[in-house]
Amino acid sequence: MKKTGFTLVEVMFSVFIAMYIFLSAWAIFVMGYKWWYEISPQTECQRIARLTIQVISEGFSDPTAGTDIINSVTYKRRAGAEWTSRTSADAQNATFVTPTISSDQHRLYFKLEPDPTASNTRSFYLGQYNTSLNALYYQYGSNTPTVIKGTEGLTSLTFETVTGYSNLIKVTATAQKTVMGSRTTPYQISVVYTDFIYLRNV
Amino acid sequence: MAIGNRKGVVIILVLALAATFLLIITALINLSCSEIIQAKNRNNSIQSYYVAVAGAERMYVRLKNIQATGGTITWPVNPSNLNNVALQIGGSTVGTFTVTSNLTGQTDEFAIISTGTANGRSSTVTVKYGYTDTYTNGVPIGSMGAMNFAGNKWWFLTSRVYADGPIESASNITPSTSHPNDSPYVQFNGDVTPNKSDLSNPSYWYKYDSATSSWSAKQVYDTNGNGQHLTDTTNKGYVDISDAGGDVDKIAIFQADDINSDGRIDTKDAFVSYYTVELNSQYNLGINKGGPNYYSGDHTFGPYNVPTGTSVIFVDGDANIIFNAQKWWGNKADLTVVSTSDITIVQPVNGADDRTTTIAYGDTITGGLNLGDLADVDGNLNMYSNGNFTAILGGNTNGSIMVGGITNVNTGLPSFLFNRDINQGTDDWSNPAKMPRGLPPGYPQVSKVFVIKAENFSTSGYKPRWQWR
Repeated sequence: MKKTGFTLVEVMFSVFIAMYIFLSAWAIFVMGYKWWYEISPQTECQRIARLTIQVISEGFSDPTAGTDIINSVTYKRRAGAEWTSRTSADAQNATFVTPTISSDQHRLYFKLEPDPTASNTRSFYLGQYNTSLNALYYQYGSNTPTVIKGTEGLTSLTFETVTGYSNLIKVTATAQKTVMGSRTTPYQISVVYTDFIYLRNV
Repeated sequence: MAIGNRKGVVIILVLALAATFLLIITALINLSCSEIIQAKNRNNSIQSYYVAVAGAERMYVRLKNIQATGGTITWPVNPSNLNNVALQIGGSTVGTFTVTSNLTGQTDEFAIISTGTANGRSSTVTVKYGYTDTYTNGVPIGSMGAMNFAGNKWWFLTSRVYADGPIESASNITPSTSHPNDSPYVQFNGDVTPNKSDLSNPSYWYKYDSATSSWSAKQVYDTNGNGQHLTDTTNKGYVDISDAGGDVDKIAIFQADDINSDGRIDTKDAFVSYYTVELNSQYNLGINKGGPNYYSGDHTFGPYNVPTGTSVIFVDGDANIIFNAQKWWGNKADLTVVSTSDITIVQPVNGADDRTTTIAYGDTITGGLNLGDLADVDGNLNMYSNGNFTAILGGNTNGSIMVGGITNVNTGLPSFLFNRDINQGTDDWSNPAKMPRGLPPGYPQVSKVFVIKAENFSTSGYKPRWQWR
């Protein structure tokens, strides 16, 4: 028997299968999208808090931090509290410049070795990025403070000394985001990271 | 498309929808994975940091052992068994590290430089320590090639070779121990180390940045240090015009880097550039091409013909220093003679307050009579030869000798007049004022009776200073 096209049953069956696949995939997509929409602010908060502590502790490449020349090879210094050391004023060993914490505990001052200008300090603090966002800022001496990119959204930053451990500084970073998720009303999500800056050169 | 007279659209629809969803899902996975990848990179970076710290600690232990055994340290310290070392925990490799140690240039300070690599991420850690020693100087005698020492004896007549250690060669040393009672009559005082794999060979691929007053390494074959250079495409050991491949731009780069215009870019270009451009830029020595202390062609220096106040002389040819018996006794003299070819110095003499340094891209030949205080080196004579070093007949010198090629010391004739005494230097190079000017970077140095300073904040101590680069 010669067929000239699809029967109605065949078409309906095909459409049913196609719809089944389409709806399944759509359900997965919607679920993934909601999950992503819900979870991405939390991931971002984690990243902001992690980056904040990482930069404060380990530092970043900063031209004002100077260089060391060892066997004619130039090594750039990182500006991080972990590398707190002496100043050029006492290059021959005598005194360690202890990092200091501001009275409101939101700013950490430290020095690198040997600082090109002994009287200058470096600091990390929570600054206002725009009308609705704060971020981590770094300042050397009286230079213009620079924002640490990627930390926009930081909401709180606290430094504390650790009793009995002069080589440790406790740092707590909080990042907060509003989630416009599946709930009827938006809600806030916060991530709080705490870590200890190990002052290796103490 | 019709198959067996059927017109199917569902399969196309399904495929299109599947492709769309696949695309969306892939994008979502990529987005969510980017955080994971960032975290992974971060983990690798931290891992490489700790691997580098482990390497630094390993080097520290090695230096402490040298201190404990009262050994002599040759700077830089870059042992082959601390090069690309796999750090393993429980049979699995965490990462690899390469670690070296060298003087920083600051008084009584050295640094450990350790680079750790984990999963393709690298971190470099430097730690500076304080140390004390009796003094720091160049290696008394070191050679990348073989070393041969020979005294002579005929009946009761002898001439001997005496050399202070450490005596170090990247190849063989003959004899490798003292032969005080035999012929050839050779006596060593100190360590004799043949086949020393970590003996530092100086390099000239460095540039000086006058804006930051700092030195940094150049890319090999980038003589002018502008970041553009050709590569040795056929492993000749140098670059020539064929490596430009006829490219006009590359030919221009070649011509700019062939600073001595000899048709090839090699270590000699680096040598010429290091002195006439980079070092001259740092100290304004007048050894730039056409400068007052730049000599084209062979030049002979006799008594009293070196202008007063000259610290470095550059000779684009052979330099012959003959009977410099003026001793420069009247005035303190600190003179470096650099030659792009060979340096011959006959009967070298200077006063106790003098320092003479010779740097030859080619060979260095010296010889004379051992006349004791009548005519010898009372100050310091430091000789660096990129080629070979030959000391024939007798003489008495204090200082450092470093040779890129082969070292031959032969008294030639059996008489006390031909005794050859090679004594260690008396200058303390940790004092920048006593450091010979113009020695190439990487020149091996030694520390005698080496002690790492106590790690505290006292006036005699030194707290290590860590930095992650």
